[in-house]
Amino acid sequence: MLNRVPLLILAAALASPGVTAAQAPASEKFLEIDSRTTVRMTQVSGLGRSASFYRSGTYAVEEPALYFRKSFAQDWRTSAEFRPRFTNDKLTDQRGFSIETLSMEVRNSSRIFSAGDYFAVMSQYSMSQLIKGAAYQRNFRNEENYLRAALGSFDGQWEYLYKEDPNEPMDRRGGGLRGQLARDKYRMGLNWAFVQDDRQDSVRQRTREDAYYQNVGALDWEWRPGTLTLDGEHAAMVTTRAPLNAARTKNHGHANRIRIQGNLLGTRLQGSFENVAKDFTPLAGSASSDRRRYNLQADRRLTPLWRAFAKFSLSHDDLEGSNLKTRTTLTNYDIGVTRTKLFGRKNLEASLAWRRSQTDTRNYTRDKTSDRLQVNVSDQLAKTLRGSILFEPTLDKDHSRGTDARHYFYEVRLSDRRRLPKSWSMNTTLSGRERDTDNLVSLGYDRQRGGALLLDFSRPGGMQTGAEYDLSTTDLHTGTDSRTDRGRAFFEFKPKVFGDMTSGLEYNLARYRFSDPLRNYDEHHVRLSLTWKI
Amino acid sequence: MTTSPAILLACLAAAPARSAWYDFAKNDSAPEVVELQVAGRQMENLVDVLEMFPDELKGGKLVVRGKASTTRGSIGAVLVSVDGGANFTKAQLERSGAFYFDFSPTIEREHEFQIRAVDTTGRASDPKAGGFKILVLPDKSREEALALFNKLLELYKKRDRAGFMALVAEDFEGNRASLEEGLENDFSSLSSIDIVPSILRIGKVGGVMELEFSFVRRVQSRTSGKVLSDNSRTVMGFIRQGDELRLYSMAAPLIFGVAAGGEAATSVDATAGGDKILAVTAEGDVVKVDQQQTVGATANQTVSNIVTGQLSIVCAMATGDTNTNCSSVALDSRAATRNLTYQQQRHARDMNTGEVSVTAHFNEHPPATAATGCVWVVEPNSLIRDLGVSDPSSVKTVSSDAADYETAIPANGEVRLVAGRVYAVKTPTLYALLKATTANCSYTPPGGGPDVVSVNAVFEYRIQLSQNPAFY
Repeated sequence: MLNRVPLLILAAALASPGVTAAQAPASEKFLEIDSRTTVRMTQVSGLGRSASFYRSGTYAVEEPALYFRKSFAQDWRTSAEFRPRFTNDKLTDQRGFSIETLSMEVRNSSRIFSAGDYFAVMSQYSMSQLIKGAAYQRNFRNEENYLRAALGSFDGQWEYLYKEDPNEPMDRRGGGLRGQLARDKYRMGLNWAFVQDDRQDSVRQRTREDAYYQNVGALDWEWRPGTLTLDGEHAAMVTTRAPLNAARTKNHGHANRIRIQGNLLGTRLQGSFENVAKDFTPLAGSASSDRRRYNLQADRRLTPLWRAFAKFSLSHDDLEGSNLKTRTTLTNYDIGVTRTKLFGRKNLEASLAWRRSQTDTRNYTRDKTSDRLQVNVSDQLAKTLRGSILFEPTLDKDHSRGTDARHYFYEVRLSDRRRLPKSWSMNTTLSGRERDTDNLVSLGYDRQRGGALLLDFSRPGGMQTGAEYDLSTTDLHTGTDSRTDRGRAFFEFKPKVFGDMTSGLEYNLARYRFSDPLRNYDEHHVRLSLTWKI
Repeated sequence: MTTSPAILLACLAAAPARSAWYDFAKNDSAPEVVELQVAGRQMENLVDVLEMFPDELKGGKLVVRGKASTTRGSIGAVLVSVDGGANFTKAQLERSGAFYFDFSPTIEREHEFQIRAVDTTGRASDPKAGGFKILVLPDKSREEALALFNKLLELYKKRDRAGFMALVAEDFEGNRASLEEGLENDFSSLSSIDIVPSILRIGKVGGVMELEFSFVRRVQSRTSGKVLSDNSRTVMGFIRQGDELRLYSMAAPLIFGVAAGGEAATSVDATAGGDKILAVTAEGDVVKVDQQQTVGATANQTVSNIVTGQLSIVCAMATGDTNTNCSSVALDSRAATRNLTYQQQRHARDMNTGEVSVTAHFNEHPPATAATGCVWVVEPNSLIRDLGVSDPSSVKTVSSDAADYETAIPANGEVRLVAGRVYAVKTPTLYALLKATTANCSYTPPGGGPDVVSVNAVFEYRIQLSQNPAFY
């Protein structure tokens, strides 16, 4: 039965436009349908084929989408979107059928009602979460001044709402409020968000996970004096953790971030500071807990030919300075210059940059310093031909182990872009690289080499064809060496059958070779894709 | 060393600013526009025709900010034209010369800007000298975000670090340098990378275009040759830099720069809770760890490194024996006092960071007449607590508060471990769970033969190397 699924899907995809096109009225286009169909035929062979990611067979993914739009009663508009997915490809989706998007909206210039899949966006720390629920927004003056409210479930799949799935996490719901005031030179937002796990969820889930209840309040702002922009956010959180068979615990956390960017005395500046407490762990917003970060960077055009930049960043965890932890501090210094029109050549550009990265651990179980030099030269070698060379030596010093390691990276790249007769254009890229890594265990260098060639032909109207070849080898000082060849040929065009249609055919070959031939295997894929919109 | 960036920045700021092409009217007597920002872009980044997208507009309006100055008097007015000089409109002006102007551009129509600054003595800058055009293109951010994501994926699979970093925003929300090093470490540690993503949503969150996807991934460790795979879901953010979208943020679990962990990720995707995720250790090996699933999650813990295993001390030694298979420490017998000592230590992990040792002690003076059992020292200077459970995998977290641990441990650290119980161990650098599945230790006094000490102990351990008390 499964083998027939791709054919059925393909047939449905090809048959459906005729039906739906007839439904669209000539005067107002209120229904739009698009579809993405992909059929992949895969063949895996060789003694080591069990290591392959893929299994031989034919797989299909069909993603149709329906959009509905309608205006009514003066300035009111309504819209809806429905996007399901059908597939027999477990790599894409473990379920054969799932609803990717189901949403609707009714709005005019001052009011917006939303339901279904909705991006509940309050502020970064408080809430930025896809929910399945409802939302209302009331605008004042314009869309920059508003009050927004949202409430819904955090379930990742629609089916989690109505049936129990073994992979489903504990049911979680939440919502938030946001008010924003904006004027020419500033913007300010007040946010409140809450998250609540479902205490009535099944016992099986409750034994696997603790339940959480969280409230977050946040103030975000932006101020634009002259050509500078400053923005920030300040948030506080209360989280209650409720294990199944233990007493509840309550944590309080806070987070702050401030950023400045702009142009000061001809120097482009950007700086930021962020401090997120250990117990600030938003379930609906986002933050990297227990971390303090500083960042400052500047770049300036010194003369029409010279440009310089400098960057400094520092971050560490363990904000409370607990003796039970080892605080890790990362510090990066970057400094570099770029010179254009070197040696009088119009397009010859050279840059030199140095980076020092330091990783320190409080008790010096790890204490490393890495110095990297980067030399990059690029030039227009002929009318359509560009070339570049990159060289990076790196010295790693591990102070705690008293070891030094030297690594080298080289890359050469040539690219040609030219016009051909009959509006065709041709892009060619050839690149080669080598990475030599000092192996302190085997006391030798591990070498990785790679090369790639891309040939791409295209012409206006959406026709594109080409081929690509990529080779990479790993040569270990001690251990199993390997080599991977990847080849790809592709053809894409837009047939003028109906609507906006794109069709593509692609062949991929990957050959994996090891010094142990029992591990060798090959992968062949033929991929047929069809997208259309009416 | 920390002073060097400050000195460098001071030098940069102090360097003489040369006139750039966007500096209007060059003669000393005329007013000029000295700073200009269009929709948040600095003038020096402007080109003749500035192409932008609707998401760069503020409430549908294009905002122009700047500052004009003059050598005589002060700036009296700044006039802006959006139709090539046919009509001029007054911008809002402050006494400092700073001005503000906004208007609603028409999509796909070219607007030709000219700005004229007039000072209080009546002199004016040449509006044509700094003219530029703007064109607002239809919003194709969704398609662009998808194309950029596919491009990043392709470059990552090809191990093209330079190409990848060229598509990362200058103000990447995480640590850009760490991401670059993380990519380098990924490429050094993984000999084969395969990722199949499945897009779940693409949408705008503030000024950031977010792309959420699930993925199936398979990699091969270069050092061990192991092939590991995982699947989960995560989010990436893209912002517009110039005319192009660039990678701006990544939530954990990471698929790019995996080795950089929390330095590259700026948040944790809560929906990925409970998934087993691939991580690259500091030693360059690839391991599978549990993605944080609860409120204790932090991005830096996504590379949480839980080591599990068993250590055993199995030995039987008689007086005077030197059994090298058992221990380098021989059973010592002094005939006069019959002072017996025995010590055998086993390490749970033999590396510079994160180890727990268990030592079996038998030190009787005089020796007991019957089996008395050993005492054990679990990692000197550590704290220990009987958790009252028998299954280590049922323990999600242990307390980080020293007061929660046993207080009755003598100064020499000797404790009696009960077989079948799980103990939480807190050392100055890590947390561990220890379960003595077998803990037999006996002494047989000489009954015409030698003294014999027999130890048969097996410990199951879980060590959290990421310095956090979570074990999920």
